[in-house]
Amino acid sequence: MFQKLTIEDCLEVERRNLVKESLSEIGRVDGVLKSFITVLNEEQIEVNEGPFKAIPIAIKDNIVTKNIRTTCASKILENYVPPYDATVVRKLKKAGFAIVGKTNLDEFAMGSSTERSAFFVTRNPWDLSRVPGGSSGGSATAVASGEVVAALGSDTGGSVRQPAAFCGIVGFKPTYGLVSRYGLVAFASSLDQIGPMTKSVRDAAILMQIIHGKDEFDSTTVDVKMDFLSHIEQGIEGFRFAVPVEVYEYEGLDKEVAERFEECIKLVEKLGGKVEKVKIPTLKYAVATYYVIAPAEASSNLARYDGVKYGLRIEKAGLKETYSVTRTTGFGEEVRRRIMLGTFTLSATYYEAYFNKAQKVRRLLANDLNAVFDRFDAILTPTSPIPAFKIGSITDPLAYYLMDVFTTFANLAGVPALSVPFGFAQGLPVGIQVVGKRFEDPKVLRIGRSIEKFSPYNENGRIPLPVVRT
Amino acid sequence: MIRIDEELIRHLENLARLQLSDEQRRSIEKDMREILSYMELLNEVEVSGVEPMYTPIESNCDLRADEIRPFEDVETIKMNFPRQKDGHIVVPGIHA
Repeated sequence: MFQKLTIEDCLEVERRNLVKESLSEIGRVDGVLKSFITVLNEEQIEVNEGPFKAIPIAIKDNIVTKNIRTTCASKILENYVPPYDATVVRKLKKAGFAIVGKTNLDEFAMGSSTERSAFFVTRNPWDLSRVPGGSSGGSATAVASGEVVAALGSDTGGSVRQPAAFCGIVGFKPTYGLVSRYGLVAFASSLDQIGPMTKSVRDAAILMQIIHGKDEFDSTTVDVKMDFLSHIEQGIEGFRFAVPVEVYEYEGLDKEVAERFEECIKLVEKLGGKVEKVKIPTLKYAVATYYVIAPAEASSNLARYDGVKYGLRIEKAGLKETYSVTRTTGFGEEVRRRIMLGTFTLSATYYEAYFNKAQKVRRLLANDLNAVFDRFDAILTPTSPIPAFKIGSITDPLAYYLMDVFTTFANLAGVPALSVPFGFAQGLPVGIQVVGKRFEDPKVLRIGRSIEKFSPYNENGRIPLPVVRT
Repeated sequence: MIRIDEELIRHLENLARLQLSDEQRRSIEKDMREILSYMELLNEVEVSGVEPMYTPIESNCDLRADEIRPFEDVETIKMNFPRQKDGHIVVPGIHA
């Protein structure tokens, strides 16, 4: 029973034993699923008075938690104990949520499968031979399997939405600047946002209500107060939706994913939405633009791991040698690859041709999207072109990056984007992505709620969840 | 198309403070060639006169006053020092 509880369900039940139930569920299934890098003992779990008192929640292990090890799934931070809480963690604790553990991810959030964790691979609760997606794969599996009621992830190019889609839950990437990044270990600072991963769209709205807002410790946060819940049930009658023709032109689109997408469009029309195909010419440059900008920012952000003040140090005769050996040993293959790529595109000779060029294309893409949002309330796409793939089946780096085809544009433009479950392909969950205008986050969730409420694959508006056999 | 060769990889390694093995170097060389060739796609786009978009934030960021505030848990910061002496970080010499 505990496994299926949403945050809203928890508000209606006796909550005294929820933390115990969460820990017992983790004990039962996590040996197989491996969602968690760190699970707390009951005595370590802080439970404060608050409206959401004792509701078990998980936090991706690249969001810092005071006195709880935060590793980023990297050997370089394997024993790092943060002296402070991220702003989002502080807010959740104040609201009463009980943090029971820290979830697995691709090292420093660089990946789409959670296979690139330095510690272990997390499994998809729908099919244990498949990846949960990534990089927030630990959080997605923990929520879908019912180890916890909800979780936070982070999304730089799809890392909340794609694992949510692969595991059949809701994942939301807010407008850039809406949620504080203070205490989120930086990957690509102009793209990173923390977002909720939940068993219902309403739960995502509840978490957004708590975590959003101006933070003096993150100067990119914007001073807006939003109401995520008041209008969420009001439907989408008269809303205009754009479907990029580029979705249909994409060769790698799975046939059954395409079928679910078509069905979802039909549903949206039935609910009173007007759907139109549009051409967004710069959309096809999103992945190339993203893989110039994100590794560039990463190579700069990850320069801080030098073995001096915290984290791994492999001491050699001189300081320079200590830096190099520490970093080469501490970072995994994918992180090294992105640091090298970013060092290249930022180097004096190539800066203009790659980094600055990509930032200009980013502007054109954002302009194109803004023009679409002048005429439409939202853009619809599948979240991922394919459902969850087999562990170990995609090894070529470029093929792996190209899976981000529908997610990266939202980060480049800083707009809000939601993945909501909609049926299955080859027995695996499919996610539909709803993308909105900057700061129209409540509208995006309202659209997602309508899809969830009336999806023929849901029972009374509740998404189906997997039964984990161990 | 620029030339990706061992010399370039070694140069980047030095800039990034990494020390790759021969095998890692060959593997990254191959990956970079493939990835950068995909990025040639961006050359199709006419960008003259376009302002780069370094961040989605449109307005200037508000800055707070630069005031010193004592941190409440200095001990945990010190606990993370890889090596220390009398509360100071110890590192190998720069001239070694």
